[in-house]
Amino acid sequence: MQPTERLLAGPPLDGRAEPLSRHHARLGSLPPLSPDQMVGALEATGLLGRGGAGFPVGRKWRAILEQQGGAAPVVVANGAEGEPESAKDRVLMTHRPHLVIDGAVLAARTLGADRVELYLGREHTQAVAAMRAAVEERPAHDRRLLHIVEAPIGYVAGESTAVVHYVNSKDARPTTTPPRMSERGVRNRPTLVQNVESLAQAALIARHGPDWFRERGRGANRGTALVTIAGPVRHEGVAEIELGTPLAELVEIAGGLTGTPQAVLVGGYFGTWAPIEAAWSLPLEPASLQAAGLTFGCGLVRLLDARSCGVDYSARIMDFLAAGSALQCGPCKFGLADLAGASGRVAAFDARPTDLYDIDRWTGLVTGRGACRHPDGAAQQMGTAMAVFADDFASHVHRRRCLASGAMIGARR
Amino acid sequence: MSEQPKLRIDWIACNGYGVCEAAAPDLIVLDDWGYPILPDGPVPHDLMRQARKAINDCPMVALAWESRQTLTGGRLGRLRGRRANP
Repeated sequence: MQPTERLLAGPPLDGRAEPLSRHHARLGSLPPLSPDQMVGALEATGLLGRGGAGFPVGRKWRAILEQQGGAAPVVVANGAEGEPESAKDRVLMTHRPHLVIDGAVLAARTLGADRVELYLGREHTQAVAAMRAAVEERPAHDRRLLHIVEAPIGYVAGESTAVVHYVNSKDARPTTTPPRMSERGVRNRPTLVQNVESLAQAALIARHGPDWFRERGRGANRGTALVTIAGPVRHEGVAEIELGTPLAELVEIAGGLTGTPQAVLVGGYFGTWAPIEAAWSLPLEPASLQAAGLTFGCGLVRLLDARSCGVDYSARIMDFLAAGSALQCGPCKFGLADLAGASGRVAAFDARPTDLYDIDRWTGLVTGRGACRHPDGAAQQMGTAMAVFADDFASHVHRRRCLASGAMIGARR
Repeated sequence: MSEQPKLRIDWIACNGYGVCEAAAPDLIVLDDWGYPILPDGPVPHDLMRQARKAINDCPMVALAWESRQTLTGGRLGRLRGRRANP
């Protein structure tokens, strides 16, 4: 089965960036649309942001457009991609940097911004190099607009208030809202922080229109999306799919199974676990997933093999997210650390009598109690893991034996 | 009759001193780590006095009425001497 290619159409994905000449020959230049036409087109597509939160892109641009009369806005293209198992943003930037830059320039032109910050995860060296080289290829009027900012490594560094904070003062920790960044963000100007895939989508929508965009897609949310598939499949990595493609079909696109998955983590480390039977024919599309209690998030689809321990996997994610806390808000700083401690003990067959009860209680207790949504995401992953791997959590505690791997007490993580 | 206001907390500012719980024991409880758990809905009329005391007593000026945009700007912001986006 052939993947649906829009963002990734063009030359093969061999690690080399599509040069500007080829990009132009293939797609032409951006059409001259009025701000209202452009934002109207985005609104008509129903495009949701692809950074993880899934906020409607048109509404985000509209909010800034409506701030007329003040200082010129700033556009930040968010390519931090701090999600460890997601690779879609860096694959896009590495191979199609000009599509991302088109989107950023388009946003600036539409919103009247006089500055674009390309906020790139510094650990993604290939993507950073491709974007740097691409900026050099652009005409002088684009180059004056574009500024590359290398983002520090860290899960919360890509959170939008942290992005603005870092651009302002080299401190990549989230800040309290209000003020909303559509009103006061980078240097107190109205600021659009938009994921790089969302911007690339906008660059295609400007050229082809909302009807073209909506031709693809099988559910309520239309168009295509980049996803990262990981786990027991022949070709792990990034694929572009039509939204609404069932998981089973994505697995085929990835070359088929090489093992027997028991569960899937959808949406990233902030995402949701589901048993494989429940998820297998589920359309990968925000509205359908939400109806099933799952999240599309950043498009990560992580299959867990039947012989891998879900308790251990979710505890490791919890540990990673606790370490990724900015340590600014009490419930996140102490709550995530305690959740990581308790789930780690359960995974290592070393649980205290109250650990399962506490994990359950603390996931509720940290939710909604931080400046950003970091604790909410961490709790969501942990809570759904507890539900999906309930038998194994219980077995780890009471029988000191793992149902998936067969490991028993004494085994070290 | 006007709608009852809600409390809001600046989680970055809050240091978990627990002064708010002492000021408003019928409104605020502390979690396992000493940070306040606020009521879900608006503050009931008969607890308004406690809520006001909790806001005034907070040493970090982290507690405020939700409706007023004073968390990072305005009086509270000036009191705290910092802004979210300097």
